[in-house]
Amino acid sequence: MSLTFSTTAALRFGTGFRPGQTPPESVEEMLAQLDAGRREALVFPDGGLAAGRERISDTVSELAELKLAGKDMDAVTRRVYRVRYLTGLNNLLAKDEHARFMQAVLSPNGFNERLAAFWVNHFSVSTRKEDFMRLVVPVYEAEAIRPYMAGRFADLVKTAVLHPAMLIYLDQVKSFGPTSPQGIKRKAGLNENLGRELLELHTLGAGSGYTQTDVRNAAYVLTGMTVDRNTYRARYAVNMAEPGSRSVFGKSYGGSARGQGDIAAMIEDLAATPETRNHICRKIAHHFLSDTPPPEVVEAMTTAWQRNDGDLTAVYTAMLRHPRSWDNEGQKAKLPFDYIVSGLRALSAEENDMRDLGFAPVKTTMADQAIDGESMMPAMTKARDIDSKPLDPATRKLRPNPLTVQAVARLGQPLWRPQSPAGFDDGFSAWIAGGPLADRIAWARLAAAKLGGNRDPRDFLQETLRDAARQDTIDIVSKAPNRQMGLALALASPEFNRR
Amino acid sequence: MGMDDKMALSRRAFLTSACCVAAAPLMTSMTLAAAPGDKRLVTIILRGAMDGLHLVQPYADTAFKLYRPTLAATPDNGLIDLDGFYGLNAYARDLLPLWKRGELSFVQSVSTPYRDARSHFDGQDVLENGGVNVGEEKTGWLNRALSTIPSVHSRKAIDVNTSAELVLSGDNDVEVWSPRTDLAMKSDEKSFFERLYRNDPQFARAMADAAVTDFSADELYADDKRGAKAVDVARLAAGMLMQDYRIASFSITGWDTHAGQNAAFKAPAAELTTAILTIRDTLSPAVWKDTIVVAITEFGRTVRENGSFGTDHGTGGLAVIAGGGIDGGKVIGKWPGLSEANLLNGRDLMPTGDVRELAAAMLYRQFDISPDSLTNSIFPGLDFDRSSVYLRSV
Repeated sequence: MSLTFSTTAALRFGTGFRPGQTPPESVEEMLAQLDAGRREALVFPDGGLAAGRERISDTVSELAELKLAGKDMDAVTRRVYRVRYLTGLNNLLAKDEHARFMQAVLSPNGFNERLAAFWVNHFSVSTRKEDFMRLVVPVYEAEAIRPYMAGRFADLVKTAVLHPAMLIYLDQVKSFGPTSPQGIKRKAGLNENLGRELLELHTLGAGSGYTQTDVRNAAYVLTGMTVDRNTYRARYAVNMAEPGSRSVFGKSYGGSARGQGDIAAMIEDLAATPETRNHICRKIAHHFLSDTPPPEVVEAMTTAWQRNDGDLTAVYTAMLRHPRSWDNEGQKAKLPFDYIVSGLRALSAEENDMRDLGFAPVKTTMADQAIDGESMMPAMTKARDIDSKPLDPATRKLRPNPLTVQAVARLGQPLWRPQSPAGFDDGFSAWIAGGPLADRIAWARLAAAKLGGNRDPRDFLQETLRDAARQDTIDIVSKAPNRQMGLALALASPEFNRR
Repeated sequence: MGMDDKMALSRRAFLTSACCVAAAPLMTSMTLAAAPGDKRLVTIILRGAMDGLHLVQPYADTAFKLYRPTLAATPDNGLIDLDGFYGLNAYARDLLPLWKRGELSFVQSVSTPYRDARSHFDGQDVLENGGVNVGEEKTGWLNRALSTIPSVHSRKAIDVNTSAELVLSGDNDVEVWSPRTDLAMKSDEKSFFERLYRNDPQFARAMADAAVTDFSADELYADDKRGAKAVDVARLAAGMLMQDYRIASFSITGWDTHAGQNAAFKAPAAELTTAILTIRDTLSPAVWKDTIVVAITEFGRTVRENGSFGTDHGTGGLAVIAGGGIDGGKVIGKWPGLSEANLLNGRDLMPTGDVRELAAAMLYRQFDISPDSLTNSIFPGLDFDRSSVYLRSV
């Protein structure tokens, strides 16, 4: 049994139905989302990409001033400033994280949103790598991933892997050609991290036949790529680059004159290998279709890749046009982020429902202090003021929204914070197990309580899952002891968790 | 006591309740409205269809035990005799002193006009919209009642975080408190999730694991911990009623006892008991005299117990009334009897009263709302006048 086109398009390839948004009815409409998505004004970073970039330069200046002032401070004062600075960065990140949810939930281009999440997870970086990553990672997704994910894969690798976020995350900024001028001066050497992950995760794939020598040589070729710490833009420092020619996966790069072009050439060559296209096409199919994707779909995708010079739109098209991509519904489990996003879409969540909760209160003896007010209402206002008055106003933390940023972390997929460069697991059994399911149920109940209103659960189930709703679920939802519970059951149902 | 002391005390009372909200958020949304005068009304919606025959058991009706071989109790095995015919479920034992003081009554065999389909949503919709049919009114009867009380204060909401319950939603300003985020699940709710996953082996396995092994599951299913939360909600409601709020409404869930009712009834019954007693204890004796708490449910449950030691959706149900000024200590309402011919559709307790009439009588009594308004705008089509049995007997 197959579902209707629009249901599969919305559930398997999109972010779920949102009342008022028309789901795509054809492959052409789905592909049109790629263009539309690229033209969309992104809701994140908070205030847009330019604002995100501006925060980076502001913070660079702020940090420089702090460092200067810090010279005259005692240790205690310096620590106070350090805590304030970090809290400030964390709060800026919190704003971006909340905005990231709004982007996914509100965008009408669900397929494009899913691809963005997929590629960010493929080219994983983490906001926890160093302080500044809190500002750089949101910008990374907006400027290095999203604009390039419908173009050639090789170009996407270049923008992603050579972005400051990745160069910092995988320690490229710490890698020096051992015999480069800077390497000699600092007695610093090679860091293989980015070279290894470029081969293992980003392009060829683990076990595809490359050797440790290839890893090491890729790292040599990458030397010179670093980050300008004033602008947080990538910079090629030729005096960090290891001279000489190096061979990676059978091709040689560099010679007497080492240059940035060697890196681009290496990435082009790696992207053009059959190993890479098999790895990437299978991974895309694994993400969208099944943990064991039909080989014929993967083959159609790799063929399209080959014929179109690794053009990703051609690859997506091959997947979407293959009939087997549209059968066997519900093989995959939604990742926590997608689960939450689709739930919020089903409930028509608006920006206000997804905002952070403002600054955390500090526990004081507020009752005692508030007693001497004049009347009830002023006393209450006063209590609130005292409630939110921190010990040091500059160290107040923004509280995450329990329906979005807090929830996705609790469900096991903290935003922009994977445990490893491999990103979050994409397999069914990683997410549908006792603990994670209990947390999903808790989320469903909370979401139903906060946003469910007086919706009739039977109508909600129909609008949200359409023909994907199983008879079992329809029966149980209609027998729920109250509306809120009925909505929670619909949101927690197997078919709402599957795609 | 001087004016200042009184103010300080009332503020302290308020702050106590406000602190509770911060420290232990609510298990359910609560809606509150301010109104003039001294009378107060608390509505507790018992969502999930409370089995009135289990809370207040007609143990002296000889047919009862035959219908309910495992569920029916007698004063010999734990039931608390009320009047020689009815007995109170032991889980609600702490209500007995209230009953003895005449501050508690039960209304047997009431229902809304909702019949036959026995859907929780639709039943609750009718219960709250106050009409005869599902979806007939888009606002709640309690909110429409506010329009008819002169000079109802309209005030800025304190914390609007979730939609108001239907019963108090509408054009008149009400205040809504946000629900607790990770509220514990009662066993009837848990059983719904188990059934939801029953035919999906991967989910069924995950659910089984969640129930036995996971720490989160412990939070989800901790029936025992819920009592404390009922205290918070009730204390908050009462705290607000001590200020200028006059109407409060909240829900108690967990009544959908399709299986293992003897055990499943414990948590919600304890919660209802705790809620009523906490309201009483938090209000000053004078305010308690002016307060009526009425707990109503969307419909009752089948007279016969089913094959899994529970009961299914029925019709005639039970309402609970408490208050310092009522003429209580009795079970009100005509007992329809349990003979096969007296059951509705051969399965349900035959309704002998309209729960809307009970609500109308309480509104009339507390807020002096005219019978005209009550039968036209608040409960369209209701038969109610000053001779209502519920005015005479409550």
